[in-house]
Amino acid sequence: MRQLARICSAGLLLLMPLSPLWAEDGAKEARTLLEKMVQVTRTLNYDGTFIYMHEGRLMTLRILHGADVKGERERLISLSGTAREVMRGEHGNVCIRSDNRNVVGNARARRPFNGALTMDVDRLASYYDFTLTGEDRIANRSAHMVAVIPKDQYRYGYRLGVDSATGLLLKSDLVNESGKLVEQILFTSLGISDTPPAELQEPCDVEHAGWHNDAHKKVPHLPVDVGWSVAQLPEGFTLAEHEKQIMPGRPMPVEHLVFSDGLALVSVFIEKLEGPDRFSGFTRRGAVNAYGSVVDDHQITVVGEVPRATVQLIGESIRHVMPVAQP
Amino acid sequence: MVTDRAEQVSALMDGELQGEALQHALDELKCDAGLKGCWGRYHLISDVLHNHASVQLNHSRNDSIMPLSGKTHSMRGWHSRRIIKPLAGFALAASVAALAIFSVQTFVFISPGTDTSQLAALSSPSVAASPVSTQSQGARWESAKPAFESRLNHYLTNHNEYSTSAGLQGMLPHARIVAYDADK
Repeated sequence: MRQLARICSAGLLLLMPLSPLWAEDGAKEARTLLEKMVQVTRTLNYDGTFIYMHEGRLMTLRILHGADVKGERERLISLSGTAREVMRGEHGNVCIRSDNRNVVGNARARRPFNGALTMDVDRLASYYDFTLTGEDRIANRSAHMVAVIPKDQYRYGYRLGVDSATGLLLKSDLVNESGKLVEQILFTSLGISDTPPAELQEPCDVEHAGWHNDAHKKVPHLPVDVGWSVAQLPEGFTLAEHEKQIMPGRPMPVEHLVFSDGLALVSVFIEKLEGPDRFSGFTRRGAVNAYGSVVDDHQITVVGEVPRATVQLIGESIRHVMPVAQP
Repeated sequence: MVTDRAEQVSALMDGELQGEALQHALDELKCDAGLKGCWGRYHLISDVLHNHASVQLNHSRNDSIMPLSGKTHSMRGWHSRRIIKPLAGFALAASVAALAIFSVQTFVFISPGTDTSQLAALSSPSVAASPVSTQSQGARWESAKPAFESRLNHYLTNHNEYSTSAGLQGMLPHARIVAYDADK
């Protein structure tokens, strides 16, 4: 035992002077890896199968991604459970197909998000620490493991596996503020190609039974009510988007405010109360927390892949400081 | 040909399954609670063997491994291939030192307000040591009225459109939509 202690001490003494340099290099390398990962996620052509695990449930999905001169196209297909498919076309329109009528939503063409395609890691470094935690083998490929550790209780952390060869994300663990794994994505197979997978050729706006696609509909540009504001935001969160839209099945237009720290996103939905349906308090679905309240005769709903404390802080500080704008 | 189901899980972990065999194994894993447990235990064992043992490793988990001791032969020897390595004195000293320094440096990076439980979980790649919570109602909104559940789903769909273009995971947030449990 004493010999083991001496060996350990010797090793510590040998390596201690180098440790700050290693740590600094590791953080820098981790940040470089993430920047590359965000880029290749959108530029590589790949066809892979992954496991999605959440709430003790496991399902298998296939993802196809292609990018060429026509633009970026993606397709996500459930291989287990209810047959479902999500396709995103080169113009950003999203189609959702299901084998039954329980479609959870639809989507419209949308202009690219302001922060898309790049990630400001320098900005993120104010709110997260980035650390290389080692190497692993995922989907029979070598991967660098990166931990993204939030500096406060208002954000989730990530444990990422990044393909050593391409920089593609192979594994993503979403860890909540209590250190519990709330969601995991893990690739089991992955094929990289020079050209987009052939199965991406089907256009997203195809008009056949089962596809739910509102991309072809004219979406009127509705003036937003700038009177809505959030008095208390977690540090680093800023308003990234504010729009007013008509949602399926809703009689009144819905204000949609998006707040982001550059990584985590929180949406605030505001709509005029109609009828008895109202939602106050918390609910959650997997990693997504939601908080509802009623302010000035409007239903406020805060939704995001953030801790409960975040949706509560934002939800409880929403105020309307100006009269509702008249159309 | 992999015949034993536990062995199939082991082969799945090792990435040795392809095509139909892979799909079959994934389908079985999804449906069979026993195999899911096996999957979790194998990951836990793998993490321990890879020195990724989490600080969250508790007695109940240790207990759950004990009955497995008679079954690990079905893991096709992958564990023994990886654990039995020559440990020369200096190599051992260096690895222990590196582990210790890494731990120290991790705390150097962290600001005072960081939640250490989250840090511990993030520092360990273990799946089984920090299990997915099973306390909620699965892929549906917890305790939400049916009338409002539909509205929440529309909200989530709209929210995900931004998540896919702004986050780290590309289109993967749409997995939440695809995973929606419509059978309940």
